[in-house]
Amino acid sequence: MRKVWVIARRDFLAAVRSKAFVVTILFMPLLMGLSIGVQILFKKMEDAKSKHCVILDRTPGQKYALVLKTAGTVLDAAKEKDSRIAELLGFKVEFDAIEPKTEATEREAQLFELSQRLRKGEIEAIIEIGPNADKMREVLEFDATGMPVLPNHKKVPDDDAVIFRSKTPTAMPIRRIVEMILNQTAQMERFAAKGIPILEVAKIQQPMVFKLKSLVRKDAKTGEYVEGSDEAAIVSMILPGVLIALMFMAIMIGATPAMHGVVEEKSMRIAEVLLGSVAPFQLMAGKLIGVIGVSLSIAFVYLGGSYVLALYFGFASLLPTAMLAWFFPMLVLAMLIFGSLFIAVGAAATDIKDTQTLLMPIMMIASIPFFALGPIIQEPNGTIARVCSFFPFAAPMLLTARQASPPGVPTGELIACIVVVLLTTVACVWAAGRIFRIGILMQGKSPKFIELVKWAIKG
Amino acid sequence: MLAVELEGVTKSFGSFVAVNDVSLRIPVNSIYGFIGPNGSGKTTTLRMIMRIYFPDRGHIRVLGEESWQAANDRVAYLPEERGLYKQMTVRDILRFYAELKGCRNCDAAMKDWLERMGLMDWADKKVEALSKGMAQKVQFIATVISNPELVLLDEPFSGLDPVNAEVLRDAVLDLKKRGATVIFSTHDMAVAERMCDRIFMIYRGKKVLDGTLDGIQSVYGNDTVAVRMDEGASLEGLPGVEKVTDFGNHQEVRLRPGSDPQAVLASLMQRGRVRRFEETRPSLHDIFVRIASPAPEDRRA
Repeated sequence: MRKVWVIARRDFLAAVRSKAFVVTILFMPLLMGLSIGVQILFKKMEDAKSKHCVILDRTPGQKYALVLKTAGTVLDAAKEKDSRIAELLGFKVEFDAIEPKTEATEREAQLFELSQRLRKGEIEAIIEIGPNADKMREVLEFDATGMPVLPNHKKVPDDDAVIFRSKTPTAMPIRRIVEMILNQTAQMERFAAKGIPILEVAKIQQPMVFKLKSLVRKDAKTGEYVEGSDEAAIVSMILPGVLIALMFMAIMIGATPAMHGVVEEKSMRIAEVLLGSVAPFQLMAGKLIGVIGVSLSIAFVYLGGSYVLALYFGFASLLPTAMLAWFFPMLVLAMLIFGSLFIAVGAAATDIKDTQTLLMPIMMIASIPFFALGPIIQEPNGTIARVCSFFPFAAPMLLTARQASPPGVPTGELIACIVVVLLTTVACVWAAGRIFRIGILMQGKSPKFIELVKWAIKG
Repeated sequence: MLAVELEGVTKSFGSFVAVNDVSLRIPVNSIYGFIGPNGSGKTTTLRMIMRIYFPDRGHIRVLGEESWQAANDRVAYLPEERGLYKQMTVRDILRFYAELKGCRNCDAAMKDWLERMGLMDWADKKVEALSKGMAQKVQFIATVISNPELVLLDEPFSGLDPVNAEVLRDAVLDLKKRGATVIFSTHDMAVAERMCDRIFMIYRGKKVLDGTLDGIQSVYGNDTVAVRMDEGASLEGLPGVEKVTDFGNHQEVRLRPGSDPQAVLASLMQRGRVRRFEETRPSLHDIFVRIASPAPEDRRA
């Protein structure tokens, strides 16, 4: 075991003393911040440009065109006051009302000419308001939530609808704003026609206020019940995603250089010198411990750094400390699986280029649950997350994420998942050990993936 | 007492038999030379003694132990194609290899060896700053720093200049004086003749020679004559001669079986002035070439 530690210490020190590691650990947050900053800057630059929309208002009096034109100029001011509008519409919109042609051929020619302008990018959208678009319809049925069921839009004649033409995804927020403004205007018109005071309607329609809060807890010192803060609820929502990302990053930053290190030891003929002193399995075990040390250091720096920052800004109580206790053992399990496979690939490959070819099938299998990452982060204890937790390559990450969001993983399920992970870990380390023993002294052409499987099975 | 004992050892890689039923007994405190052409099985045999490879058949006992475990701390190995971590300092790398052999406090031994090899000023330099010869000496120190009882050296002198080769040869002889057993493989027959107590030759995986230089030479008989002629005299087509090997200053002449040396001398005297004519035993080089030269059927192929 002493020899294993000697190997582990050398590999750990070689990794953490390398310039690449220091640069990665220091500059990664900086680069991430910079990338977010650049995205915001570009978005702002893009938003500063005006988007032109053309309105063809066929209603009598063309009052909707006038409303939209006015709305275009006040929307900018409204964005400052109303965060919903700012969120919906980041950029500036200008509405140009033009006289719609009525005669059928002229009407088609006008629409074609506008379509051509849209294709060239001169305008963003064409909004055609039918002459009867604002007419009141009978409510025939209500849905389960009590909202009136809208008629099938395909069956509604064009003259009774608002037709929105565009070909860019950025036009979708414009559509929603236009829809909101036109509906509000139509509704106000209808209330006025019925003689209902608008202020009364506004009072009636005023929604209830919803607040997002965390759970109530008991203070360990005073024994008092303490209300969870608003921020804690937000932290518990974003934390699972952050933890998955951090663990994935720690695995990749730790395991990839270890794999390259083995390729170097093989090509520089250092491996044979080492095998003169230690057994292949001891060598691999030492490397595995070294690589776990590197990943734990990365996680410790980032999580520790986050905790110090949270402490400085007074948010430390928001970070669930029990979750941190989960994170580290799960990271160790993940590193045993991925680390052993990466090291085995390093031992089998002849050069760095070959590692990519050999690693691809492993990474493809390992990445399957990440395709379902969206629903997993959205609902950490949902069916998809629960099923994926039994997939051993993703389980350490998913279990940590699920533990971070209440009520956590049920004990029975947790034990079952950990047993699956442990069995996979043993199988991976065992197979990797066999591949490592054969591959490390082999020179010449790199084996194919199927040959690696044969080495693992036959030894 | 034996340092290493091989009994009917065979090792194959796929259909290729690298070592075929080899038995060998290497006494303690001897210098044993492994010779043989490239690809004949020397390195495979050394790796099996180190337990890097396991034989398919046969038994290997090293320092009296036969257990199939990692090479123990009493045995050290310098592989043929050796490498060092470029980014480590000489001191760190020597400490690392010493610790791998269970030597916890190696500072005194490290200082002795670095001084002896003239590398003291390079102790805190990174390996990437060393010349090839220096790196080779560092690798040698890394092998012997833990004071092993058995040292296996695969081509230790290859690529060294004469001065450094001499330093390393003295170091190997010194290991024997300290009580260690040394096994080394080499292509340099003169080195093997000069340094080895016993010589083992492997050819196409099979043992073809094993014994003292004296014993091996006596097997090949007194069919060799060392000749030096005045310049210009040719030995081409000399009757009763099987082969002439030119060493520059003199030629080694191998006689056909049954040839009379006196008759050969008479023929030589007809061709020019004979400066030297000495009946001798075949050199190791000659024996090596006799065994490892392609057979006529191989040549035809």
